[in-house]
Amino acid sequence: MKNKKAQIQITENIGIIVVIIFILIFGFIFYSKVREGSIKDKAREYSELEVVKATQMISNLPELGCSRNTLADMGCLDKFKLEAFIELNLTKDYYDYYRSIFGKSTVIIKEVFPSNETSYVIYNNTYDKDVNYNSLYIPINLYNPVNNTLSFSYMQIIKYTNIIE
Amino acid sequence: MRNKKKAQVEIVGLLIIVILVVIVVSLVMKFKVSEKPRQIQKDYMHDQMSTSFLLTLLRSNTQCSGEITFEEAFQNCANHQSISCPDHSDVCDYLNESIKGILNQTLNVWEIGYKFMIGHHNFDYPFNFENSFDPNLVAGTSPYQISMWPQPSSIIMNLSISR
Repeated sequence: MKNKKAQIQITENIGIIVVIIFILIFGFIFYSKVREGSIKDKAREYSELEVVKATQMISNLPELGCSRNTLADMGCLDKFKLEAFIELNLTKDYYDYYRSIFGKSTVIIKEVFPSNETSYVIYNNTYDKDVNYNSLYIPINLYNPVNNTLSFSYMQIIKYTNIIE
Repeated sequence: MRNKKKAQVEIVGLLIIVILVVIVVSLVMKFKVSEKPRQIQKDYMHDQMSTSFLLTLLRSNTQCSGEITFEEAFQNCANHQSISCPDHSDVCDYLNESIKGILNQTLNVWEIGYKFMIGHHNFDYPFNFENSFDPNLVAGTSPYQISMWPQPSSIIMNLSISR
């Protein structure tokens, strides 16, 4: 009789342990899913911050920015400096320097008005495989030092991320 | 009889604990789900867009005589319309068409909603530009005034950008 009672108690204990283990496993899976989501969000946030940082940096790069009457002009890029920059073809030394600033992205400057035929790709570093990307557009002026005019243009930064959605 | 009652009390205790755990978990879930991730890039773009767009536009040069800026062209449109612009009868028409063209190649392509109004009592017609991307949701507005000095009036510009 006593033996049977002990057996029932052992079965009860095993049952409780199984339930607790089940709850722990379920809780761990749930927690890891939530953490995975928040880590992805953080990664996306950092990637977006990088784009914003790159936008600010491009506008303020002395090798691209325009100056009129010996004063640096904000929100303006020099057309001739852009062309000279593209001609550099970003050989290895330059490439490493700009890669540390822009990372995996493409930077395009497109003229809109008066002419919409000019477009400059000043930096291009993509992944070999297909990845997610998002674009940021900022209107800027493009300065032509020869006739001292500003045209309406915009800067497009395409940022590539390999974060799986 | 006493043992049965004790077991019932234990079950009720367990039930209360389970209910409390379920409530806490569902509350955490609710807050986690309703927590929207920050959209830094979009926020930045929309906050900056209206100001950058207006300033870039006004500083740009037109093809009108003397390659005056858009700001000067607006002043001329509101004043005596003395300058000539290619392929247009007057400077106001030129401005209307040029801004339409710029908006079509920028905000419309980027799928950003906008409402752009430029007004002055001397204008033949008000400049009003908007697209169908829900202009009610205002993310950024840039009011701007172009002084008509020495006249005591100004051209009022307002560009509202939606998300």
